[in-house]
Amino acid sequence: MDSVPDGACKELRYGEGDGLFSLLLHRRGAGIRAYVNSCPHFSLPLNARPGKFLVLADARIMCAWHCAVFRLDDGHCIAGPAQGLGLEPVPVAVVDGRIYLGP
Amino acid sequence: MSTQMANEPGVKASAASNRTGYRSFTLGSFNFSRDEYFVHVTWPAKGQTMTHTVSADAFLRAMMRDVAWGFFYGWVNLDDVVGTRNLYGQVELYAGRYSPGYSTKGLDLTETFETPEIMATFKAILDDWTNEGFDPFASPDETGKAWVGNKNGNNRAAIDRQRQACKRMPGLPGDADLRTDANGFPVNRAFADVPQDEPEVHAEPGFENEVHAMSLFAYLSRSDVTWNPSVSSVCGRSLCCPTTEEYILPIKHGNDRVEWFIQLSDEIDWAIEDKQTGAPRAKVKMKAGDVAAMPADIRHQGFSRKRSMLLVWENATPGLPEMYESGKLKPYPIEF
Repeated sequence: MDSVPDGACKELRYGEGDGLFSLLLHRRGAGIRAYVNSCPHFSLPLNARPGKFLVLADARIMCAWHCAVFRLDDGHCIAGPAQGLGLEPVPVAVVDGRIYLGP
Repeated sequence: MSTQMANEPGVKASAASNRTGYRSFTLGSFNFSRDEYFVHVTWPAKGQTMTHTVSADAFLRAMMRDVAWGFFYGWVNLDDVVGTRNLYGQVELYAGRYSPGYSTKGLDLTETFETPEIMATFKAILDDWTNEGFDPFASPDETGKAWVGNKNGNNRAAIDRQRQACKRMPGLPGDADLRTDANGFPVNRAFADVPQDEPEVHAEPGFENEVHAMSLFAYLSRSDVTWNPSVSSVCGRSLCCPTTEEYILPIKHGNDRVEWFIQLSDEIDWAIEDKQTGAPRAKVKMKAGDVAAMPADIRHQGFSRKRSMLLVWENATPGLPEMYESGKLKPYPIEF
């Protein structure tokens, strides 16, 4: 949990090549949200470079490829080319300061 | 961990002009202003102020594409002098850089901005300078001359229109709707002869919810925009973007990868220029059924005298621009 600064996003990557799974973690205070790191516009990662996210004010994130903007609280796209779509949420739990994937 | 924080700074806009009603905008060292007919772009070079003038309708059509496409892939030349290059997280704004008349004399300027900053400014310019009744996405025949003159309202419904985003295919439950008169997509005047019937699907028992088909021609015949994807089909890193085109592609696109065109109906004439200098390289007339690969080292602009249907096929594989720039990949897909 401490590795994700408050208000920031962190990328977790598993595997490589075609089997790469990238997870986006966002922390707000004691809360953590997790999404599949894939913009629903073109199914590309939200970041163009590893770990580099365009985090905007008011807990929003902009896709680096074509500028779709998402609310980090619920993953909804609120501007740009993916409006009406959203990031795919991943259930997470925080126990004793550690982040666990799953309900 | 390295998280890039990109605050959206306030857009730097002047008060509305007492004479025209339009605001002027500053982005870095660049200044943008408009009057009754023209947009004026200025930038500093060699101790002087360079000025560049563009017809306001052409400028708005061009900037509309740059905004709607999120700076797209590579270079979006708003005209022969001013344009943007997408660095994916940052965007270069340049004037004269790819125009030898300026660049060889050191009169060009390029500045790099965080993407949210330049996007916010471009959206503000579009919002302020697009008058009521002028649709930058429409062909000239469909939108008239409302762009001329002093500020007269706005047209946010046009410039903020949502692009059709699709998870799988239009018409599937939970996905984008097919286009109909009832949901605001009448058949375009140029496509009155396009059949509107949809395919018949006869699925084997048990597969009723796994088979779907649609008429792409019928769907495209109801497109309400030009030079802008009607919908995008994503399969892995393969992006198919069917579009309808009429009049002139408002920008000159210099892609950072090879881009394929498949002409689905009618004709488009393409002017192909060297990406760096703008020197003519080829003219291509694409007729229905023709396929062309636009190399990664050119800029192209299309001319469609009648509304036509074009399938644009992009390769979204990350890292491609670096592979072309390093020479690891040749700028064209085949050698003759």
